[in-house]
Amino acid sequence: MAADIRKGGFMKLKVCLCALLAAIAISAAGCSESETSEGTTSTSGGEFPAEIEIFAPFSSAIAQFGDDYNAVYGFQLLEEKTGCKINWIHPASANDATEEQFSLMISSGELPDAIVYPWPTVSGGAQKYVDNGFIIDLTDKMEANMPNLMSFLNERPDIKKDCVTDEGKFLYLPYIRKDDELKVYLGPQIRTDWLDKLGIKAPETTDELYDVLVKFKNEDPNGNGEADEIPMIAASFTDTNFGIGNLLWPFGIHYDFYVEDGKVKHGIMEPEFEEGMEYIIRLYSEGLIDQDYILMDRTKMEAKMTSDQAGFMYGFQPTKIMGMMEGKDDQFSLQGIKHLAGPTGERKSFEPNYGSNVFDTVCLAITKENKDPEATLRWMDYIYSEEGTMIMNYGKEGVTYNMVDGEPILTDLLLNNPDGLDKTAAFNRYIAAFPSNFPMFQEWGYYEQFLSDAGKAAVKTWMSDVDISGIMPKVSLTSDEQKIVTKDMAQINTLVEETYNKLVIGSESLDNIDAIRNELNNMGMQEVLKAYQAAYDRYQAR
Amino acid sequence: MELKAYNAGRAKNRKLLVRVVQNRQLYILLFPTLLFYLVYCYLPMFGNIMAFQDYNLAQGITGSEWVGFEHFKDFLTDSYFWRLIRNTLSINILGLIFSFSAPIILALLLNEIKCETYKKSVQVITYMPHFISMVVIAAMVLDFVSADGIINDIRELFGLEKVMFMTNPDNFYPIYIISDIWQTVGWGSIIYIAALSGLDQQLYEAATTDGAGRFQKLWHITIPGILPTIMILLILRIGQMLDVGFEKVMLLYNETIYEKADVISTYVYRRGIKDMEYSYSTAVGLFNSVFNFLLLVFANQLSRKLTDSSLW
Repeated sequence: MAADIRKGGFMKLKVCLCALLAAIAISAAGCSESETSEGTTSTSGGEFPAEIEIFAPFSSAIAQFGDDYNAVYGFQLLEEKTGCKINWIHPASANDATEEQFSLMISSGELPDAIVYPWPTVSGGAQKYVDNGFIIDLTDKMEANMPNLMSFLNERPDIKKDCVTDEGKFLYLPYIRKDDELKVYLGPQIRTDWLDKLGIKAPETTDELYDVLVKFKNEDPNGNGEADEIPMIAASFTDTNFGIGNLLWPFGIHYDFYVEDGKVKHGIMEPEFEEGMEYIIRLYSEGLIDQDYILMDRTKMEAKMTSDQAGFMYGFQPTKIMGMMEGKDDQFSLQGIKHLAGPTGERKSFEPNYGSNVFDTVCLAITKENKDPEATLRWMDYIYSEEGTMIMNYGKEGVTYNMVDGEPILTDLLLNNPDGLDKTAAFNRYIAAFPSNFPMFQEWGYYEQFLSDAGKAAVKTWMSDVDISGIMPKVSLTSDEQKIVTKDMAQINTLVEETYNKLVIGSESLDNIDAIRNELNNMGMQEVLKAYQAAYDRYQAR
Repeated sequence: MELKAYNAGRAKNRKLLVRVVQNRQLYILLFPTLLFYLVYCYLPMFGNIMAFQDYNLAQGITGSEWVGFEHFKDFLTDSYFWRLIRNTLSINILGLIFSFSAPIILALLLNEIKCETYKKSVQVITYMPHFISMVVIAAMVLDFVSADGIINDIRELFGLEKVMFMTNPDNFYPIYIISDIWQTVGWGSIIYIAALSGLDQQLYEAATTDGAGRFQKLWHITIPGILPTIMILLILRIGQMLDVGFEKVMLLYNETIYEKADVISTYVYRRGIKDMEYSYSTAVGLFNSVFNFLLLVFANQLSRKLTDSSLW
């Protein structure tokens, strides 16, 4: 103690003096300024708004803790720190209700201060809402009021592209996954304990996958003496999470729109389609893919996985399933494997989430009703600041996390909740970033602590050595392009989805594919491709 | 002449006014109901204007651009238009033949049962499924017909091969109709049972004295007795020919059976709702309503000619 005082005493005194002098200088400057120009200080108002009204979709996971997001500990901390009280306007928790409530709100003209909505993909584009006088253009207010967000975006032009319109305007503030790991939560996974039992290694190519699935089917890896194994489970072809269509990726194509060498393409129109489809048809017809795949959803697939029947699937990182098996079967091991390499040896993934750090369904726009947009922006920028990011991602030191070797480590309040909340519920209760329904920076550091070891490993595996250059970015269509796309895509999607699944189950033949392509062109496929191409070119020019 | 007619008209109007004043209590009682229909059924009809506009929320009905019949043209020239009409009508016609007649048959059968306890328990059991939510019904149906579902288990018991019911388009209508009957038969029969209980018992006694058998009584007394009820319900049902239980199709169908299962409402849902295409959806809705209305008028005329019972 004594040594401490002797060493640090002078330093502390110096720091104190400096601070005091600085404070006097600042207050003096403030005085003189307010004396000379009375108007300027009063118009800018307080640093943060005292109260703000925000429309935002509600996450049903929060409903058990309260009626609005103020039930989340992170938002309580935010109010404490900034002194800004948030009045939430939540639509009923169902997804459809959000759109309905949004439409009602717009048509009634009674707007809150800010609206959280999927602005980048809103029908007709966010610019239309600016033109019609619902929300305001933030572009010229950004540099002055949002130093934290802007300095980040200036360092990451790739992320900035997803935050502005084609004209380079800022109309909304985004939810940003700060670390690339956060984009990657879907991918191929396999029962490694089955692999070990059969003495084979994890498949790396499509051919190896075929061999592994055949062994799964014939060699009774679950050891119950019955041939009840379903080597691969999946959902309907174009299901974004679990679809069989993911098996087209190793062949270099996507079942939807994608980009190759700057050209927008659709998988079904490309010559590689036949090869990829033949592979999938072979797997299905030999009973290697669940014969009931068309009826599957997440719950049913998890049931098949946890009842020791299924061997391989595309899906969410295995934290949940591994958690379900904990204590039931210690041998059970579902692990992520690398994205498969196809005939050309490339490992491609077209998983849309891999493509963008911006979570486009959660963007905040400021309405024209907002009395002081600058203050709201400054308040939002606090959320993007380092301090704000800590609050949103980790909470409060000593309560929800402790610093251990310079790293914030979450406490048992989250990892082993004393009130008996399971991990997911505890994270929803305390961590504002977890339900992902408000713009901010999300950090991998806290999310990593949510994942199980298998989940973390899967994310790392999927990230390494994968080619994501072909993913279609989140382009925005002009209203003319939008018209073409909505008019034609209903027919096109109907035929495309029908064709994919009928090909898989064998009620349509690949021999007819050219006739189907002709039909698609008649329905306007080329016009839609042109529209997306134009939108893509504008996106690249941002 | 003209003056006379005018005066007569005025007198008539006066008379009406006097009558209204005299019966004002009744009119006041009627008023809330009228208001309800006005506000909730007639005013929204003006919203149909949207079908001829390129409606957007910001500009509203007064400000949106007029596009004439473009949305109707869009729908009528859609590559899948005829398939959607065919499927929608198929489901409804099959429903008319099977789902509509099942409650009548059940009611007639129940009417012949003399043991009250048995009759009541059958009634309760058959109308219970009506109270199960459609989502649950659809999940149960899908579970029954899946590869390891109960129907395939039974087939396996008899040494038959497994059948993938939900990937064969031909199976969709039977599955749809059978589950429909199962869910609605008990509830639907209530109205007929009520009609049956109102029949004059003396007719039966007289018929018995005349030596009529069970079938003769059924044919000559029971059926003519409930025919007006049947006809009214039939006409109303025909007036919904282009509507189909949207949720049920949505929950049951999948891509491989679009061929038979995709109906107007599901297609419009996939196309429009997400992009907030109010005008297009309204145009399709209006098209359906006009078509349904024409069918209703036609069915009513036909019924009046054939059976003397009609809606108006």
